[in-house]
Parts: sequence; C-alpha cells; structure tokens
Amino acid sequence: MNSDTEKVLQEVSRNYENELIRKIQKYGDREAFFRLVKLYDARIYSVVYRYLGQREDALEITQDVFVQVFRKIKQYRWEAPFYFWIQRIAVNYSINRMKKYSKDVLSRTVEAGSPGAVEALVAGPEQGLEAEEQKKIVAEALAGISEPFRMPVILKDIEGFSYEQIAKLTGANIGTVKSRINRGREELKKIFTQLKERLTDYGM
Amino acid sequence: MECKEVRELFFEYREGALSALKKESVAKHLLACKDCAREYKTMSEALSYIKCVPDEQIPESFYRGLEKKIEQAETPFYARFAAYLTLQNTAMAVSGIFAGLVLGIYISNYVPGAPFSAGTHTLTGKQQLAENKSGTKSMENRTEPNKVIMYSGNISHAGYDLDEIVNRFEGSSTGVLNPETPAKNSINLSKKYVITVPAGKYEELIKELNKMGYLMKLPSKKEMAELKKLKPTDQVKLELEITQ
Repeated sequence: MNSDTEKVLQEVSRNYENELIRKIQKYGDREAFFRLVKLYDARIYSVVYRYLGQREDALEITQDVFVQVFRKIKQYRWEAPFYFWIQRIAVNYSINRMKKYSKDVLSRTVEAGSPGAVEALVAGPEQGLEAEEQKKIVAEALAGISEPFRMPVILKDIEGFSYEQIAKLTGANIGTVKSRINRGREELKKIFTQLKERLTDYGM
Repeated sequence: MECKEVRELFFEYREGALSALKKESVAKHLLACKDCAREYKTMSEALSYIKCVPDEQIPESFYRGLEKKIEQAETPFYARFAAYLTLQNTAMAVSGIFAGLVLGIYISNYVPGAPFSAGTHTLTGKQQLAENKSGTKSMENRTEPNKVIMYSGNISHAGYDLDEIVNRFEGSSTGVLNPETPAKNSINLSKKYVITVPAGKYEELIKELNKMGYLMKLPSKKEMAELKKLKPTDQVKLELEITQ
C-alpha cells in the first residue's frame, strides 16, 4: 500500500471510529456499538486469550469487556486513543477475573511442553507450520509464565506497547513494569528451553 | 564481563538499547561463551516466535453472546425486579412509605424554630438548587440561620445528569447549526470527505480503498475522461463518499 492511501485510510477510519463513539455516547446506539466492536474484537480477544490460554473463558471475558465498554463509553474523554482505552479495560478486567478464578482457569490450562506443543515446535514457524498450531504453542508457553509477569510480557513482546503505555494499562509504575517484563521473559526463555530439551528426549 | 551480568543485559542488547561500549562487550562475551550464546539464542527465538503469532479469529458465537449480554446490561434496574412487584409487596412498600411520612411530619413539627414550609425563606438561586437536591442541607440552613453554609460543587450539582443536559442542548440546536446531523437513533454513517490528490494517483487510490472494503462513489465516465486529460501532477479534488 502506498503512503497516500495509507494516509487517507487512517484519516477516514479515525473519522469513522470517532463518529461511532459519538453516536454511542449520545444515543446509546447499539448498531454503532456493534460496528465499533467489530473494529477491535480480534485484537482484544487475542490479548485475553493469550493471557488466559483458554478459548472459552477468553471469549466470555472479551464479551464482558465489551459490555463494560458499552456501559462506560460516556466516560471516554478523547484523551487517549480509543484502542488504548479499550485495551485498558480489557487488561484490568482480565487480571481481575484471573485473580478471582485463578484456580479454575489454571487447572484447565495445558502444561507447556506437552507432546503436541513439542511436535508443533519442530516444524518451526518458517517451515509452513499451521498458524493454528503456532497460536496454541504461544498460548501454552505464555500460560506458563507466572503472575503478575504474564500480562506485561504479552503487552510488550506481542502487542508492542511501550513501557510507559504498559504502566498506564496495568496501573503499575514503570520500574515495576520493567522488572516484571524481564522476569516474565526469563520464565518464557526457560519454557522454550524446556520445550527444546523435550524435543531431544523424544528423539527428534 | 561475567555471565550473570551479560544475561541481565540480554533484552536491552536485543532491543539495541545499550550504549556502544556495553553493546560491544556483550557481543564479545557472546562470541566467547557458548553457554551464554545458547541462552541468548533461545531467548531471542522465543521472543521472535511469540511476536509473529497471528491474531485470533472471532467465532460467530461471540456476537450472539455479546448481544444477549448487552440486552441484559441495558435492561433498567427496576425491570429486573419486576418479578418481585406483586400486589402484596407493593402494598407493603406503600404502607411503609406512608408510615415513614407520617412519622417524619410528626417529628418535624416538634423541632423548635423550624417551620417546614420553604416559602417563608428567600433563597438565592444556588441555595434553592441545593435545597432541591439535598433536603438535609437545607434543614441545616433553617435551623441555624446565622451560619453560612458552604455548598460544595458536589452537593449543588448532585442531581444533574450532565449528559442529558448536553443532549437536550445539542438536540435543540442541531436543526440550525448542522442540518446534516442524523436524527436520533437513525444510523447513517455515510460521510463525505474532500481530499486533494494528484490526478496521477487518483485511480490507484480509489482501487486500493475499494480493495480495503470501503465502498467509494466512483466518478462517472465523463469525469473519468476529463481526469485522463489532466497532467499527473495536477491536483484533483476528490470527494469520497463512504457508505456502509
């Protein structure tokens, strides 16, 4: 895509989004709301899913996040980009839900490094590994990172938010965020090392 | 540099956030130390692996569930209690309120120097407002007439629904200021954008926008023919009409 098209598209989509937000704020317009949800559904769902490592719960929570968005949208003051605003609700909501139901959710997440994951890793992302399997490996690996290091790693290393943004999203200060990300990455590295070790155990 | 020290710098090294000096010594260490090099490789692989994971797809069931939840969230709170609104319960509530009222009037008649009619007092606008919003504050006002009561913004504005006021205001003025504003609840998202582009890029731009799923009002054949006559560097005013 050339840069002109991109510029026009950006402008248009921002206008479109703003229009939708204004409609919902003023009239509680549901149709506009569902259009707005469509803009962000997959992105929010992805973050929640990677955090929980469990699709059903992630769907449920993503729905709840958007219900919150619908309820609170009048409080949106146009200060931060809207995506950031939604993401903050999603992050806080997931973390709170995780605290409440941690036992329930954790007991259902699959052990990172199960044979399925290992086999999938052998192929590697470049060698035509099915996207679906890659998603599973990543979700399982991330689920192996302990709390409260998991969410910051997801936000930093997958979503690409800056330290400052993550601090705002999670309500922690930058120092805490940095150290959490570092510790989370340490754990992630260990999980991947384990995956590799099991590979050799399986004689692959 | 020690291994431990180097490993602490891995992430910053990977992000290129280290000073030139530190960067060089980490690089040197990685060349010399096999253990660290392996660690670094694993870490780097892990991070790039998770980075390129594709986004999830939203299943169809998502929107059905969401609609249901929104429906619930929108149900006004009293409707949720509709099941409890039996005749007996209502009668009990009404009699309770009545009893409270009688008791209240009885007690208020016995407060010395506090007649219960608002008409006997001249109140400023602000105070009047406060009285409407908060009965307890205005009681204080009457029982201690010499005391100046400071009304906090919270109290005097407590009863306002700011959004409603804004809505009403805008609703009454839209007819004059902005006739294009769609009527309440009608969903009409088509919008016109006027963009100036070089004539040479015009067609390509329209094509790309259409590819993205935006529906554009394309120029008529006659207009197209005129466009072709222009030099590619000429500026064209492009009117985009975006409809759903």
